[in-house]
Amino acid sequence: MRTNTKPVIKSAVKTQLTFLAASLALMMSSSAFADSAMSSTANPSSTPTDNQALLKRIEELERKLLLLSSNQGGNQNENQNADQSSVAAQIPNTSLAESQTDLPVAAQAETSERAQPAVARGSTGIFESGASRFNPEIGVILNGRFASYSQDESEPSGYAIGHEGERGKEGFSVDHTELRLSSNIDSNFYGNVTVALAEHEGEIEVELEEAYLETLPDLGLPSGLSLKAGRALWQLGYLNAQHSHTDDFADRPLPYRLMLDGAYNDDGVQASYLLPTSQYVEIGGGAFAGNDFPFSEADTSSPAWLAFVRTGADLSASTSFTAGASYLSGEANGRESNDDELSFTGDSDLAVVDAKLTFSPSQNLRYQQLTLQGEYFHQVEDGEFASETDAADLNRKTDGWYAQSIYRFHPEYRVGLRYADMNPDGALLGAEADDYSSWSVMGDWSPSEFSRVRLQLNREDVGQETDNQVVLQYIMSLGAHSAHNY
Amino acid sequence: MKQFIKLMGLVALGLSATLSAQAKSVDVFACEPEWAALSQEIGGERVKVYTATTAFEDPHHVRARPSHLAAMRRADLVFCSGAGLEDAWLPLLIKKGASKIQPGSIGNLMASDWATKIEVPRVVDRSLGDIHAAGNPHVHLDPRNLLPISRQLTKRLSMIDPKGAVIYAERQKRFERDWSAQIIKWQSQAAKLENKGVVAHHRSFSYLFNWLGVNTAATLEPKPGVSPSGSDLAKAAAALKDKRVVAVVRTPYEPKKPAAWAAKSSGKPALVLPYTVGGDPKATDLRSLFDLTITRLLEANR
Repeated sequence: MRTNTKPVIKSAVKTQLTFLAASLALMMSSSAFADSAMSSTANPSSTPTDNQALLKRIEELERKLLLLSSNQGGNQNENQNADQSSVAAQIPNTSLAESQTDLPVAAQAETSERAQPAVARGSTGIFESGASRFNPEIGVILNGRFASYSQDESEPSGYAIGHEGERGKEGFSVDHTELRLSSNIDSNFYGNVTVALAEHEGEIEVELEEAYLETLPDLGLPSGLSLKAGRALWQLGYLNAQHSHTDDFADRPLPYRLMLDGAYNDDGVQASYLLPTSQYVEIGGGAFAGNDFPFSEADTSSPAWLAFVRTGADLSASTSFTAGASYLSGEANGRESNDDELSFTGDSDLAVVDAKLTFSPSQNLRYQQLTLQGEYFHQVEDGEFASETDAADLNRKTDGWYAQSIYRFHPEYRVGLRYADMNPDGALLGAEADDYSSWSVMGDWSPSEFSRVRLQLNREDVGQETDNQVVLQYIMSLGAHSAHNY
Repeated sequence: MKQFIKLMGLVALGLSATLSAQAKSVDVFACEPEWAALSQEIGGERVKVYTATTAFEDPHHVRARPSHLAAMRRADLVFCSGAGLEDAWLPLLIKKGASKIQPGSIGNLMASDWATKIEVPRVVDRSLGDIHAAGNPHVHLDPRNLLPISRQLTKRLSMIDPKGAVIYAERQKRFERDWSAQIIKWQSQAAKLENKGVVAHHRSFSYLFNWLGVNTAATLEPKPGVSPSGSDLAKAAAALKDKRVVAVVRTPYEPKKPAAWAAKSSGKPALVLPYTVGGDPKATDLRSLFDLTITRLLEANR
């Protein structure tokens, strides 16, 4: 940041002719006023880098002066002239009368062109913010951890647990490494691909987490309506739609792990409609292939479906909430779980309600913020459960929920507490179902919005056993970084 | 099923709400209070302004809220600072908004696109902190920037609401005349401040000081967006010893302690400048924002 060239330029403009000497002198003499970048790198003795920096500055000054003189009165900022009586003259020269003669011509090109004289010199385009980026945004998430568990194994009985629902690997490991590409495709569509590299049993696997297109408002669908198609983290509950690296804890809460195998990202389409009400209300639904956990190889004639409604509002200047309800229904055809030892064929239905309250007493959530968040899951699986030795037709209902609170007390530090509990319904193929609950405490440090280091302690109670877990984790985000969900 | 009926009820409510709002004003979604104030200045009664943040929220670190989405859905004009200031939350909202407010459209006005930006970094790298590739986005604090921005706003409002074009033009003319006179007044009031210095928490006031000829001798933050450590504060305190430096300044949303700590040893005041409309009970509009800011600085300079 070369902020201190500004006062220098001012004096240069004033003296006009001797700007080189003046600026040099100024920079040399007022060391207290040299900008921090300069003072931190410059030595008292003049080094080659020093000279180079000065030369660069001189070059920049020359360029600016040239621009200034060619654009007289066209720019006011550096031109803080002694001649204060003509403030108006210092203002960019689009006279109002001129600019208004053909105002109603609501053509975009027209605005841009007419507005051009007012655009700052040196700027690259008319609409700088967010425009003229033809390359897709690229982002990478680095995610590594060290985990230590007091129990050698964690195998809760009475649950159909998929691969992602299991306890993470012990020791050092590189968790999901995500590569994300996204961009507007044209005026009608937006596209996003997220690929995760993850290690499963010694093999590096490539997982296509998301690959979807989304309609843009320009497509001309009714205002507020948008469609998403492909593979995506669908709008189910609160956490499902977000990537796990943005979670507040190192692991997903129990209901997500045990009922959704982490997250539901089937192939399909989803429509959502944002109502034109003064309060935020969004409704939507989707139809999916029925291939992702809790489904598998569903009949193409009866796809899985989802319906949801979300709302939210500000309760005061410092408090806001969001809440939602969703329902996911589909069927499984030989869904493998528990390391392929259990299979399920039948209907699987899941209802989720979620709520989140955000409170920042000073209104400034960067320095202080408290969130309370909870979700309740009710799952019904009706069909045949089979293992190698046994099979039974069952109608199983399982309830699960979690509640968590995160407190940010410093721009870089947060602490959090979470409790999650599963209440399964009766035995599964002779094995009595374990009560399963977990307490989690975490503290994380985020020196910037792109990096985070987290320490988390879990106490998982599975049946009669207690598993104490320690997880140390880092999450780093390179490149493009998408906005946080509301 | 019950839920479905409730939903339909909500839909019906929504429709009736839109129908009753037929006597239409222009809905402006202003990201920050300064743009809300300017919209009101030019639009008067013909605009309905929603302000997404208050003076006590750091605009860099806002999170999109459900209420923002609802307001964005109705907006005819989105009026924000741009230059990356709202990158953490605005893109998400805009994507959910109407076609007419998408980037590059009439209804999408980024103020910094129409002002001369300063502190445009030559090197852009995340190791340099939270820097804005397009330049410092806090453009409203140079009052001269508000003139071209108000002209552009007038154009946009007139295109969105052609019936009001004459009114907008008149109001803009009046604003331009008054504001130009104010600028001259403020400049002569603040003439004493020229070549004085300040230590700032973050480069939030660069435009103000650039305009007034006040040097930013140091910032408390070692790099933009990075919280200052003890040694950073010690460095800032050293800069404060210079007799030309009059105060440590911060916005209402920046923390009190670092500025107070740096100021303590030097005996120079730690000032909270209002930064935007509403940042102080006395800063009720754009004029009083600058009046108060200059008064505070002059008091510190005594």
